[in-house]
Amino acid sequence: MKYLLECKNLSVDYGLHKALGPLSVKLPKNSKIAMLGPNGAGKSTLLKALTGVTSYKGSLIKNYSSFSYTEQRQEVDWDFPVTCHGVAEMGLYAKVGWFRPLNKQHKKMAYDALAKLGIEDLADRPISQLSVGQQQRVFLARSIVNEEAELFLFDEPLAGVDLKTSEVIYKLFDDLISKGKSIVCVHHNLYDAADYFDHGILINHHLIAQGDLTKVLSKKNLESAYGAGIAVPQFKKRNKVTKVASAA
Amino acid sequence: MQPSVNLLDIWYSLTFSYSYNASIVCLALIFQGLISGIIGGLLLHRRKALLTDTLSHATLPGVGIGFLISLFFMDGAREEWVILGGALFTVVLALGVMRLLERWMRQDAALSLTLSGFYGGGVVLLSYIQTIPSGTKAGLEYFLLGQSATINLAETTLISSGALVVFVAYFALYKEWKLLCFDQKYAAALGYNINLLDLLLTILACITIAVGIRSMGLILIMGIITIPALTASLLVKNWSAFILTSALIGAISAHIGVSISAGLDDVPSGSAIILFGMLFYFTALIWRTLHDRYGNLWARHETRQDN
Repeated sequence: MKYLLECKNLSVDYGLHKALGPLSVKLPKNSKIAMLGPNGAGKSTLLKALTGVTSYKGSLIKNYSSFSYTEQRQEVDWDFPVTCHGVAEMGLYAKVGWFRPLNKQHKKMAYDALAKLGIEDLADRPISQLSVGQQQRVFLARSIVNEEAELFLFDEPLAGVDLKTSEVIYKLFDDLISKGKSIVCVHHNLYDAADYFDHGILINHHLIAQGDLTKVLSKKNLESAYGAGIAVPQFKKRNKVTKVASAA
Repeated sequence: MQPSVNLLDIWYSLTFSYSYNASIVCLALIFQGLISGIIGGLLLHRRKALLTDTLSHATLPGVGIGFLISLFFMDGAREEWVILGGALFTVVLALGVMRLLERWMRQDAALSLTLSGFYGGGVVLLSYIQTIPSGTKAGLEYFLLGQSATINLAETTLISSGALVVFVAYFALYKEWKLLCFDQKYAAALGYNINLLDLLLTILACITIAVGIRSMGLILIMGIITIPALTASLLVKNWSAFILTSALIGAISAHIGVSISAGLDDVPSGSAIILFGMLFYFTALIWRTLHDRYGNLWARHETRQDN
């Protein structure tokens, strides 16, 4: 089987501080992968190494041509003078290349991406007037606007969003998977991870466990990642959550 | 005693009907206002507005060096491009020193250390120049506060060329600037070289400052770079409109300020421009406050959705 991604003894240092690794892991293609672990475990650092923003030691074999990256919502200034459409079209900048302006077709692609997340009516609204859920949807629209990407990297897209937006994100993940794409997503909530993802990697600098989420999130694994005394999540099936959503 | 206010001069300057030379100077300063607005908009959202202050103060030793070079090596003819070239040289030098200092200290500490070091050096150099017996040193004090009335055609050519460089760089890299200012991390993930773009932006800022100190003065040039951008950020929430508004406010402030300075003897153009910029800013601030409190004053508009 050909893997999406193979890390061998991957490590990242910030000066004397060891941020990640050595980590060895193989990730399967076309699956929804949750990246779990405590704060400071190196999850975001691993994403940065994958995007090429941070330099790393060790080997990293990438079996995908291009990726799309969505950072945490808090990383940017939401008072910046730009419209939702203006943010969505940023996902196409690298494809268009230096110096060239966007054409009409690009503008339409950005509009379609907003429509996929159900916020096409906000296209001309300044981002300073958005709610948290809407901000997250604008970011996701930006990440899916370039349809050539094969791997989608998300940094906590589900943090702090309401039920409606989490439903939209859930559908978006399924849509991407049905198109043969792969998803790697940093996630913090252990209790709903199994609802959104089908594969998990639990890391704390090193790989602790990998595979089906119900097995990854065992008491033994969680205690070695988070320390003793952590409550082991009880898994509910996804359809229960959907019912709550439709009832609300 | 004759009043020193000449309203007719102000009107002539505003309508470009003063004299050919004065109109050209006025036009050059409008260009200066336009590029200051653009660069200010970029620097404000790149969180580098304070950089302007340090860089502009770092022009002072360059002005002195340029003056000395033209005095000793060019037969004492005061060549404007040598002085501005000297200013640009020390600005870039200050930038290098600051980058170096940032390895050992925080950015704000590096900014203030560079500012005081270069400005102090400049003051010493200018005091020395005052002791040299030479007829051409008159006018060096214009670089401190700005004096547009005495700008000659060679200087307007320099200002216009600087403006052209900034215009071309801004429009060629329109989407790159927007991305850099909004989301540096995402830009890096897309493969853009952030350090290169930042360096380019800083060089454009250096050019804007170097060509602007003659008319604005190195103490106040920070004002024409930051005030229009701050005003525009109160008025519009769309990137291209923001930069356009900032540029226009810069240009209008420059035009009115220069005209006031033409009519009022002994008022430096830089101060007049800044005062008009501040007037625009406070007008915009009042409008924004009323708008936020009582809703859109001109039309009904959707309000913020919270959920």
